[in-house]
Amino acid sequence: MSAPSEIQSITTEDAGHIRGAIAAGRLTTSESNGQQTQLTLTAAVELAGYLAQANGTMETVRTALGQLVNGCPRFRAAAQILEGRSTEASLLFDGHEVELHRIGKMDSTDVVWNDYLQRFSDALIGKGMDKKFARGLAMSLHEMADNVAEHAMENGDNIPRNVAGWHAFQGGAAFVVLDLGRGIRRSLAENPQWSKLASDRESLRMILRRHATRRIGLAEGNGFKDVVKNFVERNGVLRIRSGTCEVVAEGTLTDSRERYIALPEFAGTRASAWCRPYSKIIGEEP
Amino acid sequence: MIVISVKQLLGATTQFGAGASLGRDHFAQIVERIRQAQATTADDLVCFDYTGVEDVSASYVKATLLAVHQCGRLAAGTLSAGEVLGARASIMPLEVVVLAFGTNDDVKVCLNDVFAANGLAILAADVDSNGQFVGAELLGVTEAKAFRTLQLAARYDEVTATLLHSANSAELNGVTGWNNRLAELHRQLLLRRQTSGRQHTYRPLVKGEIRYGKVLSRK
Repeated sequence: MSAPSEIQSITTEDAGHIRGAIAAGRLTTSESNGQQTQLTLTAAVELAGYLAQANGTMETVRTALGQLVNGCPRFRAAAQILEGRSTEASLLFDGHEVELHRIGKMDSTDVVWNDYLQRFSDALIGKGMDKKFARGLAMSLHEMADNVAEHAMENGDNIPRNVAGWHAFQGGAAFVVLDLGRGIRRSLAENPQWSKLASDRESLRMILRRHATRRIGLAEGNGFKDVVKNFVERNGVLRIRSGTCEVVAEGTLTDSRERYIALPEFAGTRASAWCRPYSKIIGEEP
Repeated sequence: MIVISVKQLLGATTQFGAGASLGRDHFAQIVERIRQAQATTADDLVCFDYTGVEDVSASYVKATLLAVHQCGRLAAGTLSAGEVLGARASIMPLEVVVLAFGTNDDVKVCLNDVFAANGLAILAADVDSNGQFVGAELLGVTEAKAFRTLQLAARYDEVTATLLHSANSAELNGVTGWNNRLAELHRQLLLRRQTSGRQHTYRPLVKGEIRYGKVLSRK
């Protein structure tokens, strides 16, 4: 019953919608047509996040996603990392490089992470980007992942339940960072200035508009600001999902265009961004 | 002077001066180095050398350069409790003043952003071919009067309010006024101070021309 066209349609939907599709029973078969399913990096990682959150208790999710697990290397790799079965995965998909990595300590002893970041920068240069730009994008990924590492530490969570991924393609780049932590709203609540935010939507809005940070006494946070500068202002898109909301941002720091989308609850945070700096069209996420 | 080579800190593992985690790690090494140096000399000038560093992120700067600056301000009694709470590293009092040198435009932009966002200023020194500091750009923010006083003070090896008053009374008539300005620059870690009796003597971190940092863009 699972026609290839249905699988294909999944690939363009948000992971939250996919969960809805699973719940509605529209994805109950795992018939393979021999083709690889291609999910965006964001969707693949977020789906893996659902799986990891389910923690083995939602076998229906695993069953329902069987086709995707088998068919999408990005998803499979992310799931293995989030389930602690591997720490790194390198994929070549349609000739484009994708690398996934479990986020660790990220200090000067984390040589593996630094190599991972270096490969991202090198891959971008290999795809025709100038060195300075490639460095900026790699630093943005680092900043996002570092936020995750910090949250994990302060939660006393010794088991990394997070993943970063980058994707280098001709004329562009994408990355995703996902953690299965407490989410942005609860994190911001540590700071009295932001402790009374009414919703996940408001939390996301304050992060983007006011650079809200959970750190008491700090003027403003920088992680997302760097991403906006390096990705969004270079013909790109930033998507952040936390709790029951996702924001999709385009434009510039001073003139951003944001869309807020209500989604099913996701206990964690996922930030992804992509850009095509040398194109006039932003286009879909690769 | 105590020189902290950022390139050396980064060198062994990464070219990316990014992230608070790495910054905190480096901050611990920097503090250790400062303590070792101060165990044998009375030097209080800590110079962050960014030579060979292509770019840094704000989080990294907050956890390293700004954190050491905050340590200096804590020792000087000018760091607020809120700033201690918001610090990216474990702040402790250190008798230091801080400047940067060897900064390219990208690094300057980042230092400027971080210090301006915190209402602070720092000098990015110019270095001549002999390795001597010959002037500096002021990054971040400070009041125009304070900046002017810094420019005047940087003409001398050391300066007092009396000296500035006698040479520039047309600008500000009153020793107390000059004294207040110099004291404020000391609180901002932009001047060093020695006290002898009731007399304060100030020394610039860099002698030479001090100018506002150019407004730069990352793009």
